[in-house]
Amino acid sequence: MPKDMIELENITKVYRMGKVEINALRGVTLSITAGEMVSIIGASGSGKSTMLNIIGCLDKPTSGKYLFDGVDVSQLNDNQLAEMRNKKIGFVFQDFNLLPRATALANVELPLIYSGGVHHRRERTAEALEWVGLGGRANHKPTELSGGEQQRVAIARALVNNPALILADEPTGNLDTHSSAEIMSIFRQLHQEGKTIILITHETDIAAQAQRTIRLSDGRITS
Amino acid sequence: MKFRDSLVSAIKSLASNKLRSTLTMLGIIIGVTAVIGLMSIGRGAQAMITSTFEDLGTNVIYVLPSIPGPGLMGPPSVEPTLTMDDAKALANPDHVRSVVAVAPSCDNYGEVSFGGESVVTIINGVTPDCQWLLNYSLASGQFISERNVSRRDSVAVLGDKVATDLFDLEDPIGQKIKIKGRRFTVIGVLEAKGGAFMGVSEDELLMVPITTFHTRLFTQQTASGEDAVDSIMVQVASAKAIDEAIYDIEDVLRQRHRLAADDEDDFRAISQEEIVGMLEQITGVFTIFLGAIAGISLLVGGIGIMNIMLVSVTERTREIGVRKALGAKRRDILGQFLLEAAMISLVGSAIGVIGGFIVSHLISRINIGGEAIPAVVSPDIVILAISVSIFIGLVSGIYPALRAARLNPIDALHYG
Repeated sequence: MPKDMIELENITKVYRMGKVEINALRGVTLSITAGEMVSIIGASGSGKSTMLNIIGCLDKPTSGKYLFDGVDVSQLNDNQLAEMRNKKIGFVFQDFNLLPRATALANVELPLIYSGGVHHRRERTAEALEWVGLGGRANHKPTELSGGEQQRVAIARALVNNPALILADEPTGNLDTHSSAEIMSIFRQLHQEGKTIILITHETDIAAQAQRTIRLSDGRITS
Repeated sequence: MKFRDSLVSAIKSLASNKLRSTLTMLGIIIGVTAVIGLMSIGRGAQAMITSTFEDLGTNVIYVLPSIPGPGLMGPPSVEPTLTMDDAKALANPDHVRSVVAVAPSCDNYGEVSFGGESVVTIINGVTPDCQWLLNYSLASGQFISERNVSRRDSVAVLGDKVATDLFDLEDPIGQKIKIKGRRFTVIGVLEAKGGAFMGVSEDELLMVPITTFHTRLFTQQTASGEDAVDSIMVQVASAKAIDEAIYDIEDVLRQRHRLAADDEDDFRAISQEEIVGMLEQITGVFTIFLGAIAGISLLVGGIGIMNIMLVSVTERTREIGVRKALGAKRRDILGQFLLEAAMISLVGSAIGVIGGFIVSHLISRINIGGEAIPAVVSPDIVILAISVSIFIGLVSGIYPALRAARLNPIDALHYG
C-alpha cells in the first residue's frame, strides 16, 4: 500500500479583517498518497487557495495537524519551511509569476540558487527547459514569450529542483484552450513519471483529468 | 544563497534601472567628493601653517605683551607692555640661562615709495639678531648692523617682493626710498622665501633698525613712556632648555614690570612648539569641521539610498513573494537588498574618491595671496570617507531590506 504523502487533520484557518473574522477553512481532513494526481474544485471563496497555500507551506493553519511525509509541518520554523518549499514542492501559479527582467534560463535557475551547494546548475536548468520544450528560448525574457510558453517556463522552474510534489493554482486560468491542453498534457506526463500533483481549478473538464477530485465549499470538503 | 549569486543578482538589479541607480549613487559621490576635498584643504592649510613656523628657526620663545588671542594672529594686543630694556634684560645669561640671541621687533603698515612707484607693506623694526632668528638670507647688500641700531640710521632692508615692486630690474642697493615720506637708504635685499602665512607673503616686508622705527616712523610707548616693542624673540641653546628659559623669562619680566605676587602676567612667553601645537589644534578642529559639513551631504546621500530602496522593495513585492515561494529564506532576501544598498554606496564612494582627488588637485592649483594651499589627499581621509559612506549605505539599506525580508509570501505574491 502506497504511503500517504500529505495528511491534513481537521485543519482550520481564520483570517481576521479588522473586526470581522473570516473562516476560510472550517475543519478539513484529507490525505493524498504519493504519486496521486488530485484536483481541487470549488467556487471562489470556497477556501481552495488557502488550502493549497497551507499544503505548500506558504501559510500556517490556525488549528489542526498537517503531516508532510510524516513530518509535522506546524513544528517547523520559517527557514525550515523555506527549505521544504525549495526542495520538496514546486509551485505553478495562475499568472506565472516569472521575474519580468530575467531570462527564461535565469527564472528556471532561481530555486537552485536558493538550494545551496547544487552542482551542474546550468545543465540542470537547461535540461528542465528542454523537457518543457523551450530549449531554444532559454535567453528570452517573459515578455518575449506567449502565455503558454511562460507557463511552461514556470513548470520548468517548479521541476528544476526535482520536488516530489507539484502544486498548481489554476495553471490554465489565463491561457487559451490550445495552450491549456498543452499544459494539462505536461501535468499528465509528470503524473505518469511519478510526481504527486495537486491542481486547483474551477473548470470541471480540467478537474476531470485528475485521478481524484475534491470539492470544496465554504471551507469544507463536500465530496 | 552563495555570495557570488547575490552579487550577480544585485548587479543585474542595479543595471536594470541605470538612471535611478546613478542618481542615487550621485548623492554618495557628491558626499564623498566633498568630504575628501574639504578635508584635504584643511590638511593643506595645516601643513602650510606648520611649515611656515618650522622655517622660522629652532628653539625660539616668543614673548608678547599681555595675552594674545588664538595663536599669533590678529592685531597687536591692547596694552603695549614690553620695552627695549626688557629685551636687554632677557639677553643677559645671568637672567635667562642658555640664552643665545634676543630679538625685539615692532611692526606696522606704511607706504613706501621710490620714484613713481609706491606700495603699502609691513614695516618691521628689528635688531641684527633678527636675521638669525628668522633664518633670513640676503640676496644682496647687508643686513641691519648694531651700528645702524645704535646710530638710528635711516637704512632699510627690503623683502624680495617689495624690491621687485619698487625697483623692477634695477639694483636697489644704495637707492633712496621714502617710507612714510621720510628718506631711507636701501642697504640690503632678502632672498625670496616664497612662502605665505595667512595670505600674507613672507617676501612682502621691509625692515629698518628698531630704534629708527621708534624715532622716525611710528611712536608707540608703554604706559610709563618708554618705547614699546611688539614682540621679543628669545633663542635658547637647546630644546631641553626651553621650559627652564620660559620660567626665567617670566621671572625677569615680572620683576621688571613690578608685578605683585597675585597680579596676572602682563605678557606671555610661549615656545614655537607651543604655537605650532596651538595652530595644529585650531586647523585640526577646522579640518574636522569641514569634514563634518561635508558629512552632512553624505548623510543626505544615505537618506536618498534609503528612499530608493524603500520604493524598490514596494515595486518588487511580487518578486520577493516569488523568491520566497521558491525557497528564499529571510536572510537571502535581506542579503539581496542590503547588498544592493552596499553596492550603491561602494561604487558611489569609489567614484567619489576619484572626484575628491580631482577637487583637491584643482584647489592646490589655485593661488591665494602668493601661495596655493597644498591640498593633499591622505590615505586616512580616503579610508574615513569610504568607511563612513559604506556605513551610511548599510544603515540606510537595513530598514528597507528588513521590510522586504519580513514580507509574508502570500501577501507578497498577491500584491498589485
